[in-house]
Amino acid sequence: MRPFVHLTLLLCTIAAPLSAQQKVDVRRGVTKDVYVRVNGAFASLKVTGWQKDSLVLTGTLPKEARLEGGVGGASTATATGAKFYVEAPASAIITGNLELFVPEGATVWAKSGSANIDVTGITGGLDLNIVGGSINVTGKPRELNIESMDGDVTVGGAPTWMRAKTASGNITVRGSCTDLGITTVSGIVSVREGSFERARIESVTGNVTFGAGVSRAGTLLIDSHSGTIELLIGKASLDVDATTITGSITNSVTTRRPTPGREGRGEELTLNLGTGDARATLRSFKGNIRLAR
Amino acid sequence: MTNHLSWETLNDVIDDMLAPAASAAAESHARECAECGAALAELRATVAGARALPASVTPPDELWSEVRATIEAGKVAHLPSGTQSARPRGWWVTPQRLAAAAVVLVAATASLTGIVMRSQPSSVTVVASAPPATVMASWQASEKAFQVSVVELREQLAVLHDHLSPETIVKVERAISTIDLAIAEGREALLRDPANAALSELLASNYRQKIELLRRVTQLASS
Repeated sequence: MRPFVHLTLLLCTIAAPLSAQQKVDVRRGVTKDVYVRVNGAFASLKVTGWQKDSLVLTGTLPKEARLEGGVGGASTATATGAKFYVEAPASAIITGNLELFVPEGATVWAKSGSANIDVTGITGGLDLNIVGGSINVTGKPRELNIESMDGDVTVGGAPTWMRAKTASGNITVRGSCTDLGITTVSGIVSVREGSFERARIESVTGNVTFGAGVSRAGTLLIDSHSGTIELLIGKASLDVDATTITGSITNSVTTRRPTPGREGRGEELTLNLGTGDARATLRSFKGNIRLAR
Repeated sequence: MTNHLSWETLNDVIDDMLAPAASAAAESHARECAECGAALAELRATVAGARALPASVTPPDELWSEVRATIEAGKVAHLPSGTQSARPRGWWVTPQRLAAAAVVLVAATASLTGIVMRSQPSSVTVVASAPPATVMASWQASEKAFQVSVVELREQLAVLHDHLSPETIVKVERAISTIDLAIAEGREALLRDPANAALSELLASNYRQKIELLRRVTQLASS
């Protein structure tokens, strides 16, 4: 008897959430550069760019949630835009999971309070905004704009233009970018691999590690108030100008020692590595700066 | 026209930071789009105005204490509690307002940096030529602009308070406290060494962070 009771309880446990959910299934032909907005209360959104001229939005939402909006234009026409808005009662637990397939050249704008957003294969534009959760992007979007409060941000691939801003969320970039801009208050920033033509990283207390290349004639600027700045130079041909107001500078790349800063406080160090094809400026108020291979 | 130029792009156009093709495309868009054209024109005018500021400004005696009081108040100020009655969203909480605040930010940042850069010695062995008092006076004028933007954004946030979850408000306040502490430390250091370019850049960076954070959270609440 006991196994039967257990089985019944198990089935009830599984069946309850299933019955409290609704399915989402939207399919339409769209242009290759369709503009898609997804906004509202969802827990996860997976966006995939594919080589088809169609949009597919699938997933499940809580029964009490409503999916508003839709694909623009007549149902028989190829749409150039789509907007979806997931609305849920304020008291509802956000559990909706959505999966969006769009042409790879699409521009996708997504925003949610707390959600895990994963994007892959988009070559168009991405504008992603969350409070909590996480954002993961892989591929080569033309433009990538990410804003997060405490959600972690991970980017792999080679966006042409990228901006990522967090309050406390960590930012990890693995890949290359022509124009990179990162700002964080207390998140940890890690940029690895690849090459960057123009990179600017600003943190207040977050530690910054830059272990990627800087393109020929490129520029790298890292500012931090109290975070540690670590520049892993590798074999880069780089002019480095490092300044701290009260922090210290450690140079493991050459034998050159930093000199005392203005008025005897802090330290300064200038290095000319290789033919100095690129320039790195590192500034920290009271965080330490470390240069290493 | 829905795909407006981003805030960063507008700034990059002003700062001549874009590749020629991208810059031409942005300028072309601004010519066709009234909203972006107006934003770009306003940005240009404000930055030009900031550059034209006199090198020496004599601020009222109470300014310094006022700025300090504002920052000190900011350290302990909190958004209205969630138990307060909901207030309607102000009609004036618009992207244009946010953009205007950001314009002030850019202008003040440029001014702040420019002021210090102009006062830089030509070599490390030469003493800064600009009198620190002059630099400080000009810098204070720039900081005043920052503070005005902060206060405006704070007011907008107060109006939109009920659109944000308590958890989000806590996160925002925590981040702002962190930035305020950094700003306070940077300001004190700049008072001691007013011609330090690196210091002014770091301080300007922290101000940008604060304005940007407030702008982001205000947009978050208003959408």
